[in-house]
Amino acid sequence: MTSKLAWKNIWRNKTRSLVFIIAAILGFAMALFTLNTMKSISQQRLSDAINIQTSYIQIHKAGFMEDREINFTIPDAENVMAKVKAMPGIEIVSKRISCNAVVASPENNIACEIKGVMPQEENEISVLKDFLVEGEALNNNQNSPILVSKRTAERLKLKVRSKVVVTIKASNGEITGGSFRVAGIFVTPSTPYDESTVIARYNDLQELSRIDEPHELVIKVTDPNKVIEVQMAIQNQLTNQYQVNDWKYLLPELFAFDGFINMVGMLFTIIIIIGLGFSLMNTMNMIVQERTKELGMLRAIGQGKWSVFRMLLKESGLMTFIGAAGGIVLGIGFISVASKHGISISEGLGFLGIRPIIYPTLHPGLLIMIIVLAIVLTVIISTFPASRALAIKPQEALRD
Amino acid sequence: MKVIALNNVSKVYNPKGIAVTAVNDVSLAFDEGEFTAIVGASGSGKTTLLNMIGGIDMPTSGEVFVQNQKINELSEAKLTVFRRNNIGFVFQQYNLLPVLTAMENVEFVLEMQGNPKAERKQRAKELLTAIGLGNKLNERPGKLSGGQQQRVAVARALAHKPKFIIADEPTANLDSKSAADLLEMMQELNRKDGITFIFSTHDQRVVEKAKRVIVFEDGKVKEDVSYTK
Repeated sequence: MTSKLAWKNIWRNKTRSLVFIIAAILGFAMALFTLNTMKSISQQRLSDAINIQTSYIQIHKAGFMEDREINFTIPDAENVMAKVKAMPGIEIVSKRISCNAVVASPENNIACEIKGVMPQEENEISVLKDFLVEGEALNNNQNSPILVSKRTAERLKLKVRSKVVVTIKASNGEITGGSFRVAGIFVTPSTPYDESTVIARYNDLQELSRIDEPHELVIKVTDPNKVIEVQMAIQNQLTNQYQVNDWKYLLPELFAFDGFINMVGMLFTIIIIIGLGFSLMNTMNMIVQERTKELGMLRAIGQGKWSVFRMLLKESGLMTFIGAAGGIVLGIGFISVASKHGISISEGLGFLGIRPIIYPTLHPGLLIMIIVLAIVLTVIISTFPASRALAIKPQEALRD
Repeated sequence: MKVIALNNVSKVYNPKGIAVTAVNDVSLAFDEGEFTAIVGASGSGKTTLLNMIGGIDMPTSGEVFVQNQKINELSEAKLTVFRRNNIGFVFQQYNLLPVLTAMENVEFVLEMQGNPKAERKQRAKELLTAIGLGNKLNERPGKLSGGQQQRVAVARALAHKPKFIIADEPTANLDSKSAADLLEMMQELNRKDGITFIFSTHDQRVVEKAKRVIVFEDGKVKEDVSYTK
C-alpha cells in the first residue's frame, strides 16, 4: 500500500511532479546522448588512427622512437617477423621503412614523412585504401607508385599519374632522390596525417635509402582487448635492442584526448545530475513541508517513522525512475536516429582527427553508469528531505 | 475495571523559552466501555490530555497507564506499535489520506498491522457498509461530505479492533444532522462492542450523549460527573 500511496502522491501536484519528471527525462536523455556521442568520437579517432597509421603494436630498434635516424633499422627483421607471426594473438605482421623526405613537383615541394610499405600486407593492416578518393592502392604491378593526400596533391598541384621527385638522406649520409608516380590520392579524417605523410612501396624506398632492414614492424592483433598481453609476450621474446610499443605509446596525444573527452563527458553528466538533484531535493522538501500534518497523522495512527521515510524515498525513487527510464528511452532514440543519419559537425575538426560526420553508438557501460547515477541521485538526494520526516512529532504536526 | 489511569500528570510546553502548562497535575481513571466527553474552552488542555492518553504526547511529569502498561516509559518505536495495535484515533479535521479511496484509507491501518490483503479488504468493506458508506467504498475523501469523511475516519479508527477510540472534537466540523448521525453510530459501537470512547468536545449535543463528562479548565479537572444513560 505504501508503494501505491507513493505513486498516487506523486500525482497530487501534477504540474510540480511533471516539471521534475520532464527535466529528468531531458537531463538523462542529454547525458546519455552526449556521453555516447563523445565516446563515439573518441573511439572513432582512436580506431582511425590505429587502423590507418600505427596498427596496435609496433617493433622498432631501441632508440628509433627518440631519434628516427635512417640507420636505426631493426636487426635481423625477417627472423623477428617469423618469431612474432608464430605467436598466439597475432593476425598479421608487416614491415615498413619510415624516413623524412622532401616531395617535389614542378610547382612546389613539401617536407614530410615517407613510409615504405609492403602493398599486400599493408592492405590487410591499414584501411588507408578505403580513404582513397582517386586512383588506386599500391600494388606490385605499378611503376614506382606513391600515395599522397588530397591536401598534398593540391599543394603540389598533382593528379593521379603525376610525377614527383622524392629526396631523402640515404643510409650512407648522401642525399638521394627518386622519381615516383602518383597512384592514388587519399583523404583521411586526420588533417595532420594527410599533411605529413606519403606512402610508397617498401622495395622502392629500400632501394632509394639503401638500407637492408625496415624501421618498424607493424602488428595487427586478433583481439584488440588483449594488446597489452600480446605486447608483453613479444617483448619477452626479444632482447633489449628491440622496443615493442602499443598504440597508447605510439599515439600518446590520442590516448590523452580519449581520457580528456571521457572526463568532459563525465563532468557534463555530473552537472546535469547535480541540477536534477537540486530539483528533486526542492520537490521533496515542498512535499514534506506541505504534508507535515498528514505525515504526523500517519505517525499518530501507528506508522513507524522509518516506514514514512521509506514511503517518501519511494516517491522520489518513482519520480526519478520515470524520469530516468524516459530519458534512457529518449536518449537511445536520439542515438539510434543519429547512428543512422549521422551528426554533421564542422570539417574544421579534422586537425583533431575527427570525422566531419559522427555516427554515435550506444555503449552499454555508459548506459549502466547513467542507471547507477540515477539510483545514487535518488538515494543520496532524497535522503535529506525524507530525513526531515523522521523528525516529525505527531503531536506537533497535528497541532499545526 | 480501570483500563486507563493518569497519575499526577502534568505537561509543560516551552515554546520560545516561555513555559506554558497545558495539563497541571491531573489524576484520572477510565473504566472499560466508558463513553466520556472532555469539555472545556479552547486552550484548556483537552487535546494535550487526549494525546497523552493515546501515547502521541508524553507528560512532563506523572504516569500514564493503559491496560496496566506504563506507556510514558515506552521507547518511540514501542509507542508507535502500541498506538497501532491498541488505539483508534479520530481527528477534528478527519485527516484522511486524500489520494486513497474510503476503502483504502481503512485498509491502510490494517496493512500497517500486516493483515493479508483479502482479510483487510473484507474488514474495510464490512466496516464502511456498517456505518452506511457501502455505496461510497471507492470514493476519495474529496468526493465525500464532511459527515461521510468523519465516518470513514471512525471506520479507520475501528479497523484494527482497538480497545479505545480517542476522538478530538469529532463533530466540530459537522452540521447538526451529520453530528447526530456520527454520535449515534459511536454510541452504538460503545453499546454493542464495548469500545471505550474518550473524546473532547465543545458541542453541547455531544456532551448530552456522554455517560461521563469531565470539565477541563486551565489544565485542571474542574468537574467530573458520571451519568447513567
